Amino acid sequence: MSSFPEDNTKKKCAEEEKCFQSLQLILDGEACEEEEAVFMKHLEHCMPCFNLYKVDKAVKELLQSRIQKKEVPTDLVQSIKKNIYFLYESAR
Amino acid sequence: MEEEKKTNKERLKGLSKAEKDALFEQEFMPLIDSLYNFAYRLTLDEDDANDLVQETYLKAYRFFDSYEQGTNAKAWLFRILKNSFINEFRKKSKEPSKVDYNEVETFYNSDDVDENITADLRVESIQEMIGDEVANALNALAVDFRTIIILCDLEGFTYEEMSKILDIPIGTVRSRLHRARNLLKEKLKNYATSMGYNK
Repeated sequence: MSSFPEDNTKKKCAEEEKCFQSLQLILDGEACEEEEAVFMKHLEHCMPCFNLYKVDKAVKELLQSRIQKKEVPTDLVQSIKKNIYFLYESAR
Repeated sequence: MEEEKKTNKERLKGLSKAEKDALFEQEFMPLIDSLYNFAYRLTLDEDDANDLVQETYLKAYRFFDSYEQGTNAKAWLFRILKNSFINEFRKKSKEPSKVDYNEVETFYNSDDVDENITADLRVESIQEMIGDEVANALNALAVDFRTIIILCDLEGFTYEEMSKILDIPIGTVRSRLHRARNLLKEKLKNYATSMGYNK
């Protein structure tokens, strides 16, 4: 993770569009190493992008860690197998 | 020339029904957990999720011969499930927003998608949220936006896999994901504000 940007007065990134794209690719593991390195370097002097990166990363982690998994109903697998058997029998 | 792909047909040739079923179960049953959760997040109803998963497995079984070896089994099943959902469950869905796919696409391919609402959302307030709050925010999104977030963030599919599951170009995967996340952040921000988290 990059260090905190020195200039924290900047309100808007001049390359916003490009940064949004890089940020998304990096979070989703779709960026190449070079793109990631360039963006991480950029974060060191861009407060708006630094904040956005932190928030988007936190939202992704929130989804991954807090959404509860639903338990599969116990009879579903049996029911599927039964139906498949029925399908085969009725198709003969 | 069409690329040569080997379907299951050869592999299954001469196998007994029991052997074929065993292969089917071995390949696809371990994925039932992810499928059921995807179905539930789409329908928001346990019975509907149950029906949708059943139907997905029946279709998969019917097309097991034409399943291409080496295909990503999870993506293949997710695609079948998503198509079944669109074809049948949407008709009787309780969801009030009956947004047409094309309409949605036009909407989020327009230029106004990049408004940045993040400035008002703090990392600390995000981290304070509990599972139900996050699930409610996610469930409040229109189904197309909800779907892409589930596929990407909960199931970890790549852009290429999502493009195949949803039958849309990768560029559209990216723009839809971007739009979906902005909408989700907006919901989270409203929630945080109403709960007094976002001081």
